[in-house]
Amino acid sequence: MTAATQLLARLTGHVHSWSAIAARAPRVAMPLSPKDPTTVPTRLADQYESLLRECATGADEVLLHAAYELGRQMLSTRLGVLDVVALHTRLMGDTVPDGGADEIVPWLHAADLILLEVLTPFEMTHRGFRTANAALRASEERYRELMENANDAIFTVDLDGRLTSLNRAGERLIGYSRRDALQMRLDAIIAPEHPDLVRTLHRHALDLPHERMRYQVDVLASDGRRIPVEISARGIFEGDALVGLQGIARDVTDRRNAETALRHLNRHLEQKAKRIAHALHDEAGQLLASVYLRVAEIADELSPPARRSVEDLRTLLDQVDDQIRRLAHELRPTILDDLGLVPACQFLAEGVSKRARLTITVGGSTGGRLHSDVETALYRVAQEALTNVARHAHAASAAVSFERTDRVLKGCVRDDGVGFDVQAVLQRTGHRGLGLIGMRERLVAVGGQLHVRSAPGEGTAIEFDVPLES
Amino acid sequence: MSGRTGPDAAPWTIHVDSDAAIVAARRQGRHLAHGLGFGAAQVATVVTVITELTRNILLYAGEGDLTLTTIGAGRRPGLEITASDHGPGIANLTEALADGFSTSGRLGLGLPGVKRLMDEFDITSTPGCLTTVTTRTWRK
Repeated sequence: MTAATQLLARLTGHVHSWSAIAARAPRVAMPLSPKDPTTVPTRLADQYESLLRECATGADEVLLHAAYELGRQMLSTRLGVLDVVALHTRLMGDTVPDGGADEIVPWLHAADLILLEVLTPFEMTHRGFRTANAALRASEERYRELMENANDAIFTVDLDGRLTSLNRAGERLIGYSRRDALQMRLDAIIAPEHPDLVRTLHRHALDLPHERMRYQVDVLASDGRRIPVEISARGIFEGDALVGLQGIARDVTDRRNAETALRHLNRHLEQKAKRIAHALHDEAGQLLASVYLRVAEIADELSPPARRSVEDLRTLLDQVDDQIRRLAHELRPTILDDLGLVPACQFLAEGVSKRARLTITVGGSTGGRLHSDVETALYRVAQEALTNVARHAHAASAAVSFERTDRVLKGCVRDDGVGFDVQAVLQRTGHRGLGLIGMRERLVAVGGQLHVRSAPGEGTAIEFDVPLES
Repeated sequence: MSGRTGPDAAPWTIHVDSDAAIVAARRQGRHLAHGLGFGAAQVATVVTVITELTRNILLYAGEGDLTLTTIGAGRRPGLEITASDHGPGIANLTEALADGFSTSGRLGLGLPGVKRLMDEFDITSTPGCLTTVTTRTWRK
């Protein structure tokens, strides 16, 4: 006999025909659960069976409490409601008492109570899931709204590089509707110079699972425009498995334009400096040379004591000559163009060292020549930093160093001087604040960045880096 | 309905120190809930809450008291269930009440379950001192 026929009999009120059914029906289990009913641990199944046998004499509170505890145990062994119902159905067939309807009907009622009691802890959990799900839905809704209204494009792609979601800002950026975009692969809207972007992102997501990766690429919009964007991406993991990528793309057209303008301006300034340096070196040098000759002629015509004062004049002229050469050099060091960044910095350090009486070491390597815009920018930053050390730091020593990694050139100018409050200086727009801003702008123009580390009494470190074109 | 427990009945208290006390509390809770005219689902709720609170007492404090009070005289009737013990207390109430469905894999039974099943829930606990859980449910 099955629980279903029993239920049917009770629902239709044909209770009087029960003994007949009980007599005829074979005692077989009707599997309700897709799971093998034997998945219920034997110990729990045995307990359930004895509850059903005991309730033949009625389900008292002791029995119901035992049923509740059994339900709790079943829940904590991760059984589902269907498992419990399947077990119940199977055991009902085995435990139905011998006898007529007057015995079977009260037993059925008691067995119902047992089942309900066993299922009660499940109900508590289900309500919990409902509450938790409602909270989750609300939080997902808020998240979706935030994402939709963001100014940056936010997207996800699957492991094949197909777009799986895109917000409104993303639609605006690429000019495709979401419906069209979700049919596309990320490759199709990224400029062909970055053919392996998705694969690179995957590799980085696997190497550094919790870090955001930043890339500058051009996006191809639906109207054919190229839009420079900075993509910040991260892997989406389910457990330990990478299942996709999530990215934020920011239109950096304005920033890119500003950087280009700044780079042109810097180039222009450097050319001007070069012309002034030449004028100073060549023309002032020429004039000085003729002054030398005239002074020598005059000296020949003078008496020995007067000649000695003119000799002093010549020593002064030597110093003027030296100063002009140095100034011309610092204005635009030919050594930077001829020999590169480190030799130029060494020459610069010698000059500052002499004038400010402090020890300056220059170390590290740039690993070969760099683009002249980059070399100039780094030289100017080092120059400004050393000028600041000489003027403000009261340092005994300073060190300039360079280090090249795969894609980045890092530099640092460090001193052991008095230090300063970085925030306060950056907020003032005095010379020193402007100096720091100037350094930053030099670097930004070549895509680099600047970090100033200092505190009163703790020296100063100006750290900077520039990405290198591969 | 005959035998209905009036809303003015005196509080019923039992000292909880054994499974037998849990069973007695369940029986009394079922009786009171029926008497207040609670439906079958709400009766099951009341019995569940009594079971969870009393088993908590046994599990964490060894012994304590459970009090059932019918409330809401003249208005919608309800049942107040109060459990108190001198156990170790609950050092972190927020944690004890947190549903951990997705993170810790807990099943949402115990105090979070009780909190969810009842209309009102209040708990005071000082580690090492008295812990009191007071809950109320009103007839639906």
